[in-house]
Amino acid sequence: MRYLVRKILSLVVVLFFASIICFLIIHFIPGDPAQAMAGPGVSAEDVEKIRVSMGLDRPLVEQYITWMGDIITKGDFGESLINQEAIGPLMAERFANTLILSFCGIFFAIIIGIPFGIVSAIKQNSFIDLATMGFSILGVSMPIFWISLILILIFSVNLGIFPATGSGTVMHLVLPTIAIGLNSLAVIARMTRSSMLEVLRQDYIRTADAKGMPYSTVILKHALKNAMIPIITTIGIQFGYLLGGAVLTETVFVYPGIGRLLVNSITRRDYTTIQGCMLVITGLFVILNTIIDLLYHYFDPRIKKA
Amino acid sequence: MEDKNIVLEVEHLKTSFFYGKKEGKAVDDISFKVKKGEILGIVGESGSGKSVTAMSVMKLLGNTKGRVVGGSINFMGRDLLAVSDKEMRQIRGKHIAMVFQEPMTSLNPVLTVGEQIAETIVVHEKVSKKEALARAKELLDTVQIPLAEKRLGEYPHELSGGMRQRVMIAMGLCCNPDLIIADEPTTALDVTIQMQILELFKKLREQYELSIILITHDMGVIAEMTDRVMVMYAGCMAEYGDTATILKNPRHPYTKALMKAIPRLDEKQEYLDAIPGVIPSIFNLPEGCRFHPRCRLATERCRKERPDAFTVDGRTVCCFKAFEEVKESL
Amino acid sequence: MFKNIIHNKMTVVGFSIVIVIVAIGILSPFIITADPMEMDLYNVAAPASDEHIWGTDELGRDIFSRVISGARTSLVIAIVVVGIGTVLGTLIGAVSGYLGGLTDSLLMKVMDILMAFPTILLALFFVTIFDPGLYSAIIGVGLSSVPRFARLVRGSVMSIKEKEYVEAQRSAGERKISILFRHILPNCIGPIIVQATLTMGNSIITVAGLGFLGLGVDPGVPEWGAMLSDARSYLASKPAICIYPGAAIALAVLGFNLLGDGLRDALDVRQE
Repeated sequence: MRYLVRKILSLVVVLFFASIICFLIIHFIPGDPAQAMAGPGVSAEDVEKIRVSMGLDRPLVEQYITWMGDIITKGDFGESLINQEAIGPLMAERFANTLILSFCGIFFAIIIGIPFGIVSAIKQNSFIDLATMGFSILGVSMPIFWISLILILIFSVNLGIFPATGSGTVMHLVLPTIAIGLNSLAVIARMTRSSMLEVLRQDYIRTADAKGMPYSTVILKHALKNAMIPIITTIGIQFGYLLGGAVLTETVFVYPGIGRLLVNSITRRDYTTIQGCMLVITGLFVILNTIIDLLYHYFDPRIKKA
Repeated sequence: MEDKNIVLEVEHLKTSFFYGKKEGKAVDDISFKVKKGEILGIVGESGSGKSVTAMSVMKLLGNTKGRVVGGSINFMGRDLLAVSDKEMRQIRGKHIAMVFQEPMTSLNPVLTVGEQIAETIVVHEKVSKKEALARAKELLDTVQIPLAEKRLGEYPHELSGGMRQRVMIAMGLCCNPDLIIADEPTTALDVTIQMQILELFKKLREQYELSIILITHDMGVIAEMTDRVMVMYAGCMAEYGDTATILKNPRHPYTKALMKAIPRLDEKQEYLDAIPGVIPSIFNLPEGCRFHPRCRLATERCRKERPDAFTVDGRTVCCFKAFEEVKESL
Repeated sequence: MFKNIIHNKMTVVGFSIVIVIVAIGILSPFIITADPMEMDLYNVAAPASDEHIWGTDELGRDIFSRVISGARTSLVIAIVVVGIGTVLGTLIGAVSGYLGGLTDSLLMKVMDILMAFPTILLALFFVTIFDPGLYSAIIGVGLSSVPRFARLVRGSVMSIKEKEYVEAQRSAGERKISILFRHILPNCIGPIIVQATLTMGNSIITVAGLGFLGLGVDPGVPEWGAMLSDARSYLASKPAICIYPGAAIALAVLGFNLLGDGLRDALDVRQE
């Protein structure tokens, strides 16, 4: 319980500082923030107008409190500098899309990676083990955007099974899911294998065998539950990478997620939207890491009392 | 008549470990019997093949490089070497149970004590989880764990070493097995706890007419606990027979040395200071009698030939010197 | 034993790939068959020929020469990134681990906050502030590699500093800073090398990702990620344009990953 409180406190602190960094983006830009927001070729009066309307003339602390206060109380992230639309609702929609894609990706990586890792471990040095390991070394080395292009080349251009770009149907999700999940799949399979190999050497596995537990129970209950502890951490870290990967995958597949929104906003210098996207992605990343830490504790009873 | 009373009969068991082309004879021609309600002790130094014998009977060598290469293992009329892996899993835990040396690492750290006992019962006897847990509680009472109800929900790391070994024993007892193999069950424990655990084994034997194979390096434990004893050295049998007879009048020089080396109860020592040298590696076994490099009585014959077993006053011995002594006394 | 040989083989393969890539990076001006920047708008997206062995890209530039030149771009960026990570990370980790107390807590909190941002997001952060380009990418990716080095060195320093010989040095009146550099840091060199090798691979992939988003190096500079991005519209008609740069990235990253894994086993370094 104390651990939980400490973890959540630490989460709040990190989130607080991360939000300050996101907030300060505009002020980090060399030169006048109002000028940066207005963009080039804008008259001095217009720049001043923006300065007042955006509250840039007020003290930094006050600006931060207003910005963060609006986000927390009203879900109001301000307006886009490009088309003056409210950022909040747009981001909510994009964010939901990214979450769907990320969850599909990690789910894909888990349901394929863990079984292959297990089989690899129990049939060490067999063909399937070498194949899985070969794939996993290759899998982590291939850039996500290249995987995406190859998937499009094979399944859209040549075979015509799945659409190359867009969103809306399940079919649209298939290729992006594979692309975004493949790296993680490789890492999870590898981690599962080494973790299982370590666990299978332990005395308590011999005990389970000596008790006459069926082989499947020994592997899936006695071994896997112990092996899951490091695997869970890996999955958490991978989910974080996945959020980074979303930026690339969404760009290739023209998928309306928050990563693509961020990249587009950067190219258009839409600083208010950039701030919002950064905050949301970082927030999710940090919260996720905390959840993983807590899950870790759920799986390892030894830590609970320590 | 006596045959019906025999629970386990091992004949000419040979188990080897294979590393590449090298064969290490860990157990080389071992025969013994365990009768109903009897405690058989197997004694020897580390590396003498005691544990490998036990693992061969349990057919738990699967994860190692070892395998049984000869002999037979007959358990209650069944040839264990012929049964399938699946059948063996039905025998293990239900008919033959094992208690290991390392109570600290032999319990699964992420499952509760209750779960680990109950799952064994559920697997072997088709009962509900609830019923199994109720029996698990009784078993914890049987092995004298206080606050059994509370312990069921605890994890191994919350228990002391002695408690964990009691849990292991409860787990072994849970399906009323015919035979328990206890491999150095008290070595890792404090002296006072050792005594308690051994007393518990004695009590359980009387209560359930249980047969027990007790593996130890401690002649003191042998004297205290067992009905019969087999002394092992480097994978071979040195002397085998009634404990009382052997302790009173040991014939094999190794047995004599072991008896001299009975450790004081407050010391944990597994290597013998009383005899010079160490036990040979299974990959580098000496010619002739395997004990000869450490035997003060060794002759030229001991260096060249392996002694055959001979039987004298109710025990079997493998030693040329002992044979001569017996012959002279006749 | 079998596994060991396999493992060694993998390390050897990784090492060979790295050597080849580095050699290509150094010798690229002598390998290329054409100026990688020179456009030929009359010969756009041409198929492979004697003159252009892998064909030309969407602006008529020689693909082979661009992929070869891309090795140098990627390597230089990755080396600078690893340099930033190693130097800053080692300094922070060493100070943190050696001094302990409040300094340690503060520095580690800063590292936690830095780690709160996924690598590519941190890079995008600097791209936003300083405009897209080489330096933004390098600073972003470099900074995000710092926390790992810092934690690693901090851990090693904390475990080593208690060892007797350091105690002995301390009682002999040596200065803290000198103890740190002469006795403690040389002992963390193994984990640092492993981390640096793996970071090379990661940086190559991340920087290529930025290039792919059009937020990496300046336009025209031969860089694998940017080349892939430019080639996207030719995916259907000329898949070769997309294959070579991607394969180059994968090969380089594979080399560093294999080498890093091999070194980790060889130097017996445990990962966090």
